Amino acid sequence: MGISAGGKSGGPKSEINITPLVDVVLVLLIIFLVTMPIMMKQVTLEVPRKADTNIEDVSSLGKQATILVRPDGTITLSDGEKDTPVQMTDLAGALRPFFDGKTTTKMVFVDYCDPVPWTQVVSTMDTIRSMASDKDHDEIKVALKMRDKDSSGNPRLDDVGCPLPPAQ
Amino acid sequence: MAKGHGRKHRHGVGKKPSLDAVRNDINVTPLVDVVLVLLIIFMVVTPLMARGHEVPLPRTHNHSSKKDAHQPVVAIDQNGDVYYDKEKLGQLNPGTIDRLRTSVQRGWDERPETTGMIYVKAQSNLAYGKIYPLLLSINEDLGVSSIDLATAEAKE
Repeated sequence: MGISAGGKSGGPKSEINITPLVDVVLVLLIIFLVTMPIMMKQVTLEVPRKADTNIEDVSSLGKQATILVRPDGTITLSDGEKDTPVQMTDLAGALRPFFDGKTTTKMVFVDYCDPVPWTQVVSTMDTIRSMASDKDHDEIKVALKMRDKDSSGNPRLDDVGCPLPPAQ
Repeated sequence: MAKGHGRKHRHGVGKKPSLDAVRNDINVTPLVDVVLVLLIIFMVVTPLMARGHEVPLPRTHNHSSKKDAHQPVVAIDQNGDVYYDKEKLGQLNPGTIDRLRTSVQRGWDERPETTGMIYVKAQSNLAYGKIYPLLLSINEDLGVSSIDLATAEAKE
């Protein structure tokens, strides 16, 4: 009954009403923005038993890379014999020789000074894992270096909170 | 009558209001209602969906693409307080470790396929010196040798 009358009052509006579309899209956008940071990802950290670190390190795995990250962002890379200072940006390149031609588990031991923030801890692990060639980035294992303890069972640290090498 | 009055206002002067005129624009009010309610529901539900105590996580690019195995979640916040899932246990000390061990064991019993797995959520700006004792304790007291560290996906 109303169809014919529509024309009289100025004719039908021919533009599409985009208001509901904009509403829906904005809401979807907000939902995604809210959900994104909640999706947790994971990085696996190996914590070898003490016995493993002592026995396997030297004998079966050959040259073992150990890195120590200091609060100022400098990194000391150690292959068990000598220490090399490395910049954060060059870490991947410096670790390359340890992985080339290695068929067994590729493992890097990591240690950090006490004041190093967790986000930097994880970002070094991220850098190490970026060298893995597989999709899961699980080819290279990041292992926690156990700190040397003093006679009372506390970790031996220097005045900046950096772990000291094992006492001779 | 009220309807006709409304049209007069919308279309300006000179038009005689007719009761049977068709409104040719969509009534968006119910749509907006529904969408707003959905928005509120999502805003309320999403923080509850996250596992464990909520802490800002560090961001990574090269995280594992493995799916969440629903292993027990342990979190440590700004103040060094330890949480099992969402339950606050307090500062790390022998008592807390005991309660943590019991809770984690319960978690493993509920999902036997996750035995030996643990998920650690640590606040991104917390110093390593605060987290190392927790990792060490998880290793020594809980006997876990492979710890999954929670991270958030890095943007860009």
